[in-house]
This record gives sequence, C-alpha cells and structure tokens, in this order.
Amino acid sequence: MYRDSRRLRLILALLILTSFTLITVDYRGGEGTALAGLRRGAATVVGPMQRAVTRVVRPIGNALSSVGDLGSLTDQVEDLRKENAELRNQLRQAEDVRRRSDELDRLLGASGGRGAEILPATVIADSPNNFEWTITVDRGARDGVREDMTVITGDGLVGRVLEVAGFTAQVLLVIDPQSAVGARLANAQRGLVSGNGLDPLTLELREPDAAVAKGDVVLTSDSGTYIGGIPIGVADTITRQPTLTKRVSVTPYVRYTALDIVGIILTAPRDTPAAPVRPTPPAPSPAARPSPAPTPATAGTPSPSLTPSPSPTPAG
Amino acid sequence: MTANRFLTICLFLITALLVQTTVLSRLDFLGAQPDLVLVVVVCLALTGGPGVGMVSGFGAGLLQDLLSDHTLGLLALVLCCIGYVAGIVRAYLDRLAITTPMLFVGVATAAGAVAFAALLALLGDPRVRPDALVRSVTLASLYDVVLTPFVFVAVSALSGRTDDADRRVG
Repeated sequence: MYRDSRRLRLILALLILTSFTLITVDYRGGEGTALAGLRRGAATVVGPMQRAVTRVVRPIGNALSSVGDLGSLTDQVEDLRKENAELRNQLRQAEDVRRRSDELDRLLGASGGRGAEILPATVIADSPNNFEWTITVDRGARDGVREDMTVITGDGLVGRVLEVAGFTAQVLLVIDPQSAVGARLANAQRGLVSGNGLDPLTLELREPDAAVAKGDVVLTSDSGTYIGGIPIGVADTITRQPTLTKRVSVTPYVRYTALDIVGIILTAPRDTPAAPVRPTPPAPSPAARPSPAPTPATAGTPSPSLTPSPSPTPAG
Repeated sequence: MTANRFLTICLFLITALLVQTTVLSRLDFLGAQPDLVLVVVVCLALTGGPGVGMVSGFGAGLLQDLLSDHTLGLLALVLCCIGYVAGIVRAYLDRLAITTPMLFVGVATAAGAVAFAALLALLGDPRVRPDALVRSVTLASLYDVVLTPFVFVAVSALSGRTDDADRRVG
C-alpha cells in the first residue's frame, strides 16, 4: 500500500502543514471563521451518537465510576460511615437547607411563577482529555440554548454555555482554569472565582480588608455573564496576598465529576438584584456597574467575566 | 487501501471517541482519564504501518479537536506524529509480542500528553499546570498500558490482513 517511503513522507509533511495551518487560523481567527462552523458541524454529527451511547452505557459508567471513587472495601466502609455522619448532620441542617432552597427559588423567580425559565438537560459527554473541564449536554440551539447562558444544578453553579450546536451544547465548568466568575459574599464583598481543575476554587477578593470567614457562602455576582445570586461554594482557607488582594480557597457545592442532570437558565429572573438598573449597559467600565459596595479605589481592577457584555441576560 | 479496511479503521476510531467521551471521561480514577483514542491509533499503526498510523492519527485528533475547547489542530498534529512513529517502529520489529504495543503506548501517551501540554502553554492556555501535569501524565500512561492488550487484540483481529498474520499476538 504505502510502500513508497518518499510518498509517505510527503503525506506526513502535508498533514503536519495542515495541522499548523489549522492551529494558526484558529488561534488568530476566533469566532467568525469557517472553523467555528466546522466545530458546530462536528458537534451536530457526534452529539446524537454520544446521546445514544450514553443512554445505553450510563448505568455501567456510573457503576465503574463508583468503583473508581471508593477504591477498596475498607474505603467503602469508611466512606459509608462518613456519609452516615454527614446525613445525620444534614438532617439537622434540613431547616437551613430548605431556607436556602427557598431563597434560591425566590431568587430565580421559579416559585413566583414569573421570570426564570430553566431548561433541564442531561450530560451526555465529558471533555476527552485531562486538561479541560467541560461537559456536553443534550440540549442545543433548537431548544433555545445560547452562548454564555448560566448552567446550574440544585446545589449551585455549574458553569456557562461555551458553544452551541443544533442538538447539543458544550458547557465550561467553573473548575476549568479558563473559567472566571464574578462573585460576591453575602456581605456584598466582590471578587473573582477561578478554577483549578480538581483542586478547590480560588476566590480573589478585591478588598484586602474584606471581612470574610471560613464557612461564608460565595455567590455569583449580580452583574456580568452569570446570573446573580447563585451559590458557588463555601469559603475555606484564607490567605492574604502581597498583591493587595485576599485569596480565599472555596469548596464548591457542586460535585463536578459526577454531573448528570443540569439546568440551563434560558431567561433571567425578574425583580432580582440581577436586573440591570439601565436597560443597556454603557461602555464596559466596571465602575459603571450598579455596585452596592463603595469600592472606588479598586474600580479599575481587570476582571474578564465581570465586563458587562452587551446584554447577556435580558431581564424578563 | 480497500474501502472495507478504511471503513473498519473509521469504525474503530469513532467507537474509541464515543467510549472516550461518554464512559472513560466520567471514570476519572484519581483525577485522570485514559486516552483510548491514542491507544487505538497506536495499535492501528502497529498493525497497519506508518501510512495508516498518521492518517488515522490526524483524523482522530482533528475530530477530538473539533469536540474540545482548545485551539484546532493541536491533537491532530500530536496524534499524526505518534501514528507515524508507531508505524515506523513496527517495521523494525520482527514479531509483535504483546509487550511491544504496551511499552510503546506507555511512552507515546506520556510523550503525547507532554507535547500537547507544551503546545497549549505555547499558545498561552492557562490550563497547563506543571504539578497536575506530572500526576495526570503518569496515571494516563498507566491506564493506557492496561487498556492496550485488549485494544491490540481487537484491532489486529478485525483489521489485520493476511500479510499481518505473522505479526499477531503470540
């Protein structure tokens, strides 16, 4: 077949050249190029196959996954014992959990019957390598999913929609190092949550004197790409940085390696702090944000995901 | 290359990709996942030669690129080179004992992951972290080596032709 080694080397050179061309074009071009269409096309073709395979093998995968999680029987006993204690603890905290859940309902407008529209979606695939933390869900453009929509579970924030194909969508998880989420504490201190893969999240607070304690709840900020008021996690260790910021390690509520059903927020809830004061945000200057915390000194802090995009979440 | 053989190779790669994204990526043993697509590419190359290796590596890599978030063409480049080298290695070996593909897959996984990470870092992707890299590369190589015998037997049974008969396991 390919006995001729010169011809073989020619093909190899051609393939490598094609790779380099693709890398260059994609790296420079960004969204507008034909390559984006190619990506969508591939997702449209492979998506339904992944959905079919998932439907068949999900139970097997889950079984194997639990084996991988537990390791050995001793670990299993230990884990169950821990879980038992945890459940007992949870039972005690049930009242608090219910309150929090009600709060979330109220924030999302779900209980009010108006406002937030949440589309449930099943996870059909995860990212195929060890560097990216994304998931693919079985809802796409046909179901009204658009880029940058906020994705949640009952526990908290999952991420945002990265790319949309016809029947599927790719979601960037909060734990991906590429992810940056505008966040706030319950006392309105603002910061930026970034992912570290499987390690806990990092919250960078803009005020070095910000009052934060272990156990504080971290929520999404009311402005920016994400819809405000969604719980992300709980503050853990706090270290003061030499760069005049405070760094907080955050344990997320959501278990990102075992996602099954998620909700995509199609429409932002009305009458929440998330609603912008002005219908169209002016120039992308963080200082123009309706911020309850008076932080003039740090108004210019660069924060990618806090930059108000034209109108990511039209209220109502 | 006959149409039949071409279809068999495509089938192998698509199956590997589907299993990779739907099953293996959910397992996450100790924070790393095996790379079944790479194992299949290496096994195809070891049974079919450098031509089959580089073309199937390029195709599988490109498809993975299209389904991921990183810059397009990176995995196509890495897997194409791995497939070619695996095909060349095969020409220098008289017999393929099962340990050869296992050894080669282990090395290829580590080399491929490091090359991919280096390319990502070169393009300014913040996702590459040296400490996590060492762990995930070591584990992924280990998992891939374990997967290899099964994949190799399947690949050589289904795509091996008469002239490859003496190269089979045994």
